[in-house]
Amino acid sequence: MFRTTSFVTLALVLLSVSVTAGDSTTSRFDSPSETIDAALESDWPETLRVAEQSGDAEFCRRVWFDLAGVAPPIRRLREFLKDESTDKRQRLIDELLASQRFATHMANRWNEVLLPEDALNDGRGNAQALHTWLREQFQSNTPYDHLVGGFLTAGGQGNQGPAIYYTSRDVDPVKVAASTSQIFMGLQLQCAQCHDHPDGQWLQEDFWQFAAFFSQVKSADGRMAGTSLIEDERGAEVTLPDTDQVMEPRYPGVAEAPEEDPADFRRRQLTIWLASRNNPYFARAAVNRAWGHLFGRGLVDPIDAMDHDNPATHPELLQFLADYFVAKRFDLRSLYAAIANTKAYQRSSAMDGERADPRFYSVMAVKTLTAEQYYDTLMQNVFFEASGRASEDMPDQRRAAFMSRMRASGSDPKEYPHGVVQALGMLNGPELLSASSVRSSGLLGSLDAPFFSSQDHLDVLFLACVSRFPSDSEREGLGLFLTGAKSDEEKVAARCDLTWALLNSAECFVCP
Amino acid sequence: MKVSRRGLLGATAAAGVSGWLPQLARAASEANQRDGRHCVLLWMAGGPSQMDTFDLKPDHSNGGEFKEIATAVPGIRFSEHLPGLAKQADRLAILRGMSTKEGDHLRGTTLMRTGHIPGGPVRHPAIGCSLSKELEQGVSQLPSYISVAPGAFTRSSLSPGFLGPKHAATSVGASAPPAENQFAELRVDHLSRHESIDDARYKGRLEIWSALQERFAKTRGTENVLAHDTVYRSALATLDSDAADAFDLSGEPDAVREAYGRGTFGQGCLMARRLIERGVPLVEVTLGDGLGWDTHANNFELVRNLSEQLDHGWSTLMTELADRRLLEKTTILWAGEFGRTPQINSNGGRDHFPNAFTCVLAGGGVAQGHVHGKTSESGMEVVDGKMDQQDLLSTLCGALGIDPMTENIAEGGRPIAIAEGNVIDEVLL
Repeated sequence: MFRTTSFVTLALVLLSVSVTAGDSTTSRFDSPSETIDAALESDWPETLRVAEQSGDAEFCRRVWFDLAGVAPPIRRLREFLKDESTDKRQRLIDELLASQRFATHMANRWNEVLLPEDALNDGRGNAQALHTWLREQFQSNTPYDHLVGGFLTAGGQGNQGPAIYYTSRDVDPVKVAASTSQIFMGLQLQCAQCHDHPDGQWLQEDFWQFAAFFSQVKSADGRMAGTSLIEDERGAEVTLPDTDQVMEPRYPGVAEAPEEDPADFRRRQLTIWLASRNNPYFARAAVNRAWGHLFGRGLVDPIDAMDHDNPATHPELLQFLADYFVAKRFDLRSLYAAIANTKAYQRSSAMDGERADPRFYSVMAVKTLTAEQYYDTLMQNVFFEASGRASEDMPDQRRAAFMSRMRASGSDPKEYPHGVVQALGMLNGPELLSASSVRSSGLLGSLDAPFFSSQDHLDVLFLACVSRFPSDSEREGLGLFLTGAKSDEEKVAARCDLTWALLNSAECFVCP
Repeated sequence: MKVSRRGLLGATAAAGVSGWLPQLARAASEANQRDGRHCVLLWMAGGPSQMDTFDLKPDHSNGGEFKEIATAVPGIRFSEHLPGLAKQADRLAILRGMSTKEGDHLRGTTLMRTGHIPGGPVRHPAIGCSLSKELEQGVSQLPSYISVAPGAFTRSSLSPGFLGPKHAATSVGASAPPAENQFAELRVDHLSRHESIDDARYKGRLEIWSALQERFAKTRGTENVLAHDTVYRSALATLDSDAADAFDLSGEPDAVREAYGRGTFGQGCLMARRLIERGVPLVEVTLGDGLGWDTHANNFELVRNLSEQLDHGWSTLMTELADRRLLEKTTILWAGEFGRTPQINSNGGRDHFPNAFTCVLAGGGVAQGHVHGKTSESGMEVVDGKMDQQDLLSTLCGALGIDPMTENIAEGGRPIAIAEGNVIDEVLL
């Protein structure tokens, strides 16, 4: 059950700075997970329905999908379930955050955030180059401010990955300014491109003064055909539409002119400010995105619309997370660990009957998997193959075909983005035809041994597809289905049919 | 993508309920008005020559080889290679004042099919996705937007953008060009189960699947889980129904198939009629496999051949729809990514020309037998009734009884209208 803390107490918890200056042992950042839980639970109404803490299988499936981008491999899941130590969840979180899979999964997510959809599928390898660049940053745990700085100021032959951020937006200061304010500051500054923002937060001049930071960016041809790189042309300016008025660069919400950059390198000027403590937006946008990643909804939702007219559900918590992130020198792994170790994140998503309002975080969200998460899991747990991106940088044609049918970039994980066309492709398409055929499915092939009982078969198929053991009633009903078959051939067919049904189930298409 | 409107988070949940009712009521009354409306998009890949189809200049040196013929409407004249359409000119509204700024195939295709140039922060949906979303009624066994034989360029601009994959088009593929005296073969992906799965096994699969679905939804009845179930059950209903029959043209009499023309476009128009009979709101048929209308060389021979396919397919479609009293409920748009240069180049071809070209509306909601807009003697300029892609899409909405200002919510909670141009009332009923 839950307790009720008064709002004032909560504010004190969140705002009190370290008791003794210089004494790092009593910092308010010492137990961030507890602070987060206290902040969430402080405004719970008496009547709120609260879900139980998740079981180990549910937690394991969730944390693998969220941090590694795939379901747990069958062996890893079994080991985790058998492990009896009390800190096993914390250790799994740390292990996954340090893994290559985390770097790959974050690169997958950020590629979709940074690029327009047509650039993701351009087929010329530019999106892949960005993916490789990002993966290296996440792998070496580059602090987030450095990552963004390196990304925004990238130029020259050695930095062809980030260049696509500019080239996919036609190296147009307007488009680059719009996406930069949205992605890195969570601001919809572009709404003021043509006229002042309706609620008065942004004037048209604010947008164009921000765009002036990108006025110098130009593209040049890279060494390889079809690739581009980015250069800066000093002296290039933007003007307010329909006027000759040259716009001087200004940071949004800051009246004073920026400090001169000795080389007049405006992108660098901007990135130094972006990550500075004077910037109220940067850390907030980053922690809100991480929160949205793990909980399926931002503290401000939609996550990149953090303007004045869209307040946070828990403003003090958002500020605490932003302060924590800055105090940890923009260390993404610390931020993710702090959130993943909360009771809130480890609560079950199961709730009988009417569900509690998700804004109270008393029950975990059920997040729709991305097409990549589904496909990479299918490859790992059913075909027993490493999927394209997880292993190397060669394009994988089968994966690309699946992505072009199923990719729904920018879709809300609380929703199911697909329609009848995609469902038909799942039901009758090539992927599940092979996955449920004993000749092509490593999983089904592995079961074809005399010493396995039908209960063993059930266990393995459930662990592979939905990361849990079957329930008692499933054991009973499906056990009969598998043993009821007369010939060996029919028994194999029954296992194929069960696999097909599991892979098409809603449970298989979500992170619990 | 449909997201909760901004500000909902801050607002109290209780206020939401009453706010929905007027919206629902309005939605219901609008749905009644456009009850059973359909739209057919005839897409001319490559950019069709207005000078050799609907806006001839026989008295000018730019005119070219083709003669003009009279049509059913006095004063309106078409190319001699469109005799079937000429007889039905009283069903058409010719828009001769189209003008845009995009002369590149890919960008022009996106512009004409979404109303917007590519590459901005918002992923605009193709017009077919927006319109089919408005026109669809409840759960149907057939998809709401079916595109027959889209070429490579059309395919890349079939994207539902921020509306999400739910509103994507179902493509009907075409086999390689048919052999002599054969009809083009059209097929739909994933509409039949694999032959190795017999009825008994299929039934068993669905029973297990259904039990898994019910168990999971009991404790996790979230929006995405329930939507997954609904969408899958519609897909299963499609497989179970005679929907596949709608795509099977083999039962049509040879004489009918012949009248439409044997090629992909003609057979696609026949499929369009069968789909509209079965209630599909939006069907698109592409003419010009790849970029067939891109007649930089040898323009007249190519356009003659394309015109013949166009004339048979389109005019037979209108006749058959009218016979079934469906033409009055079906609005047809004929368009390509741009027009072609009035001057004939040294290869006997015409090049890209977005400055002044023609689109055509026909059928339901359209003021028929009408010409809107005029180009100069040389065909180089629009001198009257100039309109752009936004005006065209808004006018199409008007003909279908859809308010073009209907908004959908894009990424980041930004409301975006289907189209924001002027509705040309003069060509609407």
